Amino acid sequence: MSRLMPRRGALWQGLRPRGQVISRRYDQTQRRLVTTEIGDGDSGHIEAKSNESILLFNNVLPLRLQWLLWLPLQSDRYLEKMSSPKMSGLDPADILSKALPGDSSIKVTGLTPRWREGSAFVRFLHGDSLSRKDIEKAVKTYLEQYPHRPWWQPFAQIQTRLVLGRPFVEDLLRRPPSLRLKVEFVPATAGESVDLSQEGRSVPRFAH
Amino acid sequence: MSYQVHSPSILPHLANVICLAELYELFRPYGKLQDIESQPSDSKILPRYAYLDFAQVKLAIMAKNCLHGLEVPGEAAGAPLARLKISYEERKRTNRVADWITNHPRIALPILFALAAGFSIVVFDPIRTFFIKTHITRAFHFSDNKVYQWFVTRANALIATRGKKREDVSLSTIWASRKDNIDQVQKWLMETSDTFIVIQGPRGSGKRELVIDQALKDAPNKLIVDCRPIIDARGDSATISAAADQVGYRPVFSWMNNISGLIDLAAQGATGMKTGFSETLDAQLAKILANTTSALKEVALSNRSKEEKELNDDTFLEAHPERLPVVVVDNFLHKGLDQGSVMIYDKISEW
Repeated sequence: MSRLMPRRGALWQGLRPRGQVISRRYDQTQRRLVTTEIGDGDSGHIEAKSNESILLFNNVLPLRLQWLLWLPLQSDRYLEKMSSPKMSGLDPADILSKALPGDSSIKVTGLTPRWREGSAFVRFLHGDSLSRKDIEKAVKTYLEQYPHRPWWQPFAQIQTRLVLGRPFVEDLLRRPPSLRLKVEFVPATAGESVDLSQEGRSVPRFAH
Repeated sequence: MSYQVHSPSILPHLANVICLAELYELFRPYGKLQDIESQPSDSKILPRYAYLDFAQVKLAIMAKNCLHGLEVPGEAAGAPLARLKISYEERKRTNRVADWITNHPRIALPILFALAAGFSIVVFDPIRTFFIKTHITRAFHFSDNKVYQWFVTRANALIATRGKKREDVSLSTIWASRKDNIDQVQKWLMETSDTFIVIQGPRGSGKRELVIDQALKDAPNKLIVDCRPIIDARGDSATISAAADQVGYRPVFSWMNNISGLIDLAAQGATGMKTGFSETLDAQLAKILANTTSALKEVALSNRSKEEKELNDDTFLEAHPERLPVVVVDNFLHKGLDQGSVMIYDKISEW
């Protein structure tokens, strides 16, 4: 079973002993907190505080090569090393700071690698001068100007989107990423069920 | 922002359309969508749901991660908020080829059987012919090995064999007296390729020894078919495997004889017509004999020099009757002509 659960969270943390530390300082100077793949305290969620926002960067980890992690070899270590920011030159937190060089209020507070989805969440503090939409826009334009391409997929490039909800970061084996998404409308307050389409009203324009 | 509220009684179809458009507006920024499939309007399943098909997995990943848990406002002030709960859903794979095959058994099953038969001919028949050839030429017979035989002679010298020599002497005198017969048989064998020789005699008169041990002592390629186990075998599959054993036909699937009958029955039920797939004893024996024929021919025509290869096969064999492999059918008609054995005798004699 231990082979079935590769140390995916060990990415970007060096080679930490399995299952010992759930989060640890990855870069002492910048004080970025790297969580495991399954979020804060292995809870399966990433929480953003009131003045925090989360950006999702895709293509920062090899999505297509993740079967290597399941091989009964030490390949996961090599893959982790090879795709670490040092080797790939793709550090999403770094991209964020480079996209907004003048803004000193932005401070990366969390990094959640997502091996399953080939992406990473970057949680950051920001001041009131820029809205989170503006930050997303700035990072997007930066990535358009300077395309970042991973070595394992030379035609793909990193894209970013602002996280609007509360992401559920699972690593369920039987639910691999797929083309099809099921969107359920559950009541925000428990008890009532939301009947969006049956009430014959227009579904509200979702305010971002 | 204000929203126009439509009554379902007035515009019953509008609800889904709007839902679709709103979902599109929400999810399209993450990439191209193949389709949005909303819940059927008469479905009672709660919570309400919709399926979204993205063009690429990475787009679906982004959309899922960014929008999961997003609270969307209700219809009017005071209406409950709805939270989006997004999960990956495996798409049902529809394989058109598989669909077509399962929907058209009348066409697909015969084709399938034809392919299976073709496969067996392409793959198994050369293997079987090869095994028959090695059976005839005794290529894999360990006891024929010179090194092995050397060891055997050494071992025999060590172990005392009393009385064996005397027996040998007495036997050799008997064979010396029948030298004429042996020569006669050998001469006949040299004559032409299309003949057969019948050797008759009462039981225990030494027909087998005369032919195999004496007349064909030096014949390099001989195939001895003993009819006794074939006739004595009980049941079709046992008969087939006995016959296959005699000529060295391998691999033999004698159980196929039983199974194919069942398969044929099933296919007949599925398609409503006969497939002709079943392999009878008759057909199997014919196949074994046909394979043996081709193996015999290959054996006879092997080891030709370059000049000899330019000759016609028949001309070559007429010029070199000593190259022809000899087939000895032993115990022919040993059990009389009863119902079951007639067919087998017929087959062998036809051959």
